[in-house]
Amino acid sequence: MSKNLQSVLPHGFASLERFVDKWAKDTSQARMEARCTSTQEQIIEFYEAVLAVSDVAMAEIAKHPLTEMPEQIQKLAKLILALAHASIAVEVHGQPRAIGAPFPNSVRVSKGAAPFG
Amino acid sequence: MNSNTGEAAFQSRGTFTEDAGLSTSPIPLEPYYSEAFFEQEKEKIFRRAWLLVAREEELPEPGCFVLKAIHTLDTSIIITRNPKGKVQGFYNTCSHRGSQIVTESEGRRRLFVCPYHKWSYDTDGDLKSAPDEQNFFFNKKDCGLTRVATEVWEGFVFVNMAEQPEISLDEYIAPLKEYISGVNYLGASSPIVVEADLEANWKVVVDAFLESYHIPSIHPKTIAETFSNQINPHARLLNSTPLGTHQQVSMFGNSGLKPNPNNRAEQLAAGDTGSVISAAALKDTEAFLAHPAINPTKSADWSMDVNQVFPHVQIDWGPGGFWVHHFWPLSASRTKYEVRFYVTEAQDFKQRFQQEMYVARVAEVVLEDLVNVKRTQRGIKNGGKKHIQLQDSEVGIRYSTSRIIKWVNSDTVREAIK
Ligand code: FES
Ligand SMILES: [Fe+2]
Repeated sequence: MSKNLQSVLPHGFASLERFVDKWAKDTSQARMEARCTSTQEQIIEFYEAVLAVSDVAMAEIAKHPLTEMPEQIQKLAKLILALAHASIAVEVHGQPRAIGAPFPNSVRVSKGAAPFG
Repeated sequence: MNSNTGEAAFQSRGTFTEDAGLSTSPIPLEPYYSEAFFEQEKEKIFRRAWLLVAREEELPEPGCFVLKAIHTLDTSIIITRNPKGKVQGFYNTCSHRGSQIVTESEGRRRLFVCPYHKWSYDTDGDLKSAPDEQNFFFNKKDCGLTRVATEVWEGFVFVNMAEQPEISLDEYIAPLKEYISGVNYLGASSPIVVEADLEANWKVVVDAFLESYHIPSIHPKTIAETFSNQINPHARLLNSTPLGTHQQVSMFGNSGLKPNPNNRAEQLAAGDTGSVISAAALKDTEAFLAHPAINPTKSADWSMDVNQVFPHVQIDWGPGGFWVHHFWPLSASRTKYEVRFYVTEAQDFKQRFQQEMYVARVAEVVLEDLVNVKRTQRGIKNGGKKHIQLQDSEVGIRYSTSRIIKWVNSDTVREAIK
C-alpha cells in the first residue's frame, strides 16, 4: 500500500494515522461495526492510542464549528467518535461484543446524531 | 395515583395492581403465541385504533413528505404537509392501476408522480394531470389518492386505518392527554434512530419495556446500576398510573451513580460537568422536568417514565429528554422494532462525543433485549405453560395485556377504551 505524502490527520496526530482506515468512519453504524469486527487486542490498541492524545485532540477540534470542519479535523473527529464504540468493548463488555449475543445481528443505528451520524 | 416512596416501600408487597383494579391471578399465555389471536389483534386493534406513526418535525415545511410503513397491516402511507401547513395521510397507491407512487422514505415535492404512467398528485392527494386524459372515462375529481384519517396532537402524528374511524383522536387519547399535555418535547427535530427485527411476539417486547425488574439480570453491565441500588435492589417501580386504554409507569433511578474513574472514555465524555450544557438548554431542561407528569412522584431516585400510547408505542422520558419506541407486530412471533432518541443538536464537539457514547451504549441495550425476547418467545412456544405469574411492579404488563384482550373482545372502540 503506497502512502500519501500528505497526512490525512492534522499536524501532531501522526500516532493515530494507522487507525484511520479502520476507525475513521462516516456513520455511527460503521463505527459500531468497526468495533464488532475487531479483536480485543486491536480495540485496546486503538483505545489507548486515542486516549493518549484525546485532550489535545478535543481542544484542536473545538477550534472549529461543528459544521465547518476542515477535512483533516473531520477525520480526527471521526476517530474520537470511534473511541465511544471502542469503550463498549473495553469499559463495558471486556470483549469485543456482548456476551451471548449473535453477530451479525439485526440491531442497526439507521440514523445517528449530526454531524457524522 | 399511588406511589412508592421511602425505603419501606421496596420491602413489603406493593399495591399498584390492586389499586389499578386489576386481578392478581396469573395471566393467560395464549395471546403471546396464538396465530388466531394475532389475526384478531390486526383487525380489532390495528385497524381500529389511532396509531402514532411520526413526529410533525419530520415534515418541517410545506411540500415535505414521509413514507411510513404500517407494518402490521402490510401497507404504507404517504404523509404530506400541504401549502397551508396541514398534515395529511394517503395510501401509497395510484388511482390509475394501483402502482406504488413513492419509494423514498422521505423527501420534498410539490407533485407526486406515479412511475408507471406519470399520473401526478398534489400534496392534498388531488389528481393534477394524467397523460392522454381525453381518452379516459373518469371524473378527475374522483381520482385523488385514498385518504387515511390523520390527526396531530402535540407534534405526534396519528393515523387511523379504519375507513371511517369510530372515534376522534381527541376522544381516543383523552385521559393520556389530560395527564401529559404541555410537555416540552426537547430535541424533537433531531432523532437518533435504532432498529431491530425481533423474533418474538410484540407483547413479549412491549412487556420487556414496561418493567424494570429484568434490568439487573439482562442489562448487568450496561444499565443495571442506573435502575437499582441497595435500597431498591430489584428495581421496583416508583409509580403506576392507568390512563384509560393507555398508562404510565415511573421507574426508580439510582441517584448516587457516579462515572467509574477507570472508564476513561466515559470520563472524557463527562469532563467538568455543568459547562457542557448551555444556559438556555439548562432552562429548557428545568421547565421540562417541572411538568407534573414527568417523574410524577418528584422522587430524587428517578430514572425514567414509560407512557404507553396504545397499542404499539411508548413515549419515554428521563432527566435528559425523551425517546419513542415503536413495536410493530409482523406475525404471532415476529416484531419490527424502532426506537427514536430525540437529542438536542450538539452545540460543540464535546456534546457530540457524549451523544456518540450514548448511541454506542443504547445499541448494546437493544441487543441485550433482542437476545432476551427471542429466548422468552422460544420458551413460551415450548407449550408447557398456560399462564404466567406477575409481581406487583409488573403491573404495567398486566394492565397492557388486559387492555389488549379487552380490545379484541369489544364490538366497538368506545367499549374497548372504557
Ligand atoms: S399506475 Fe400510476 S399512472 Fe398508471
Ligand atoms: Fe431491557
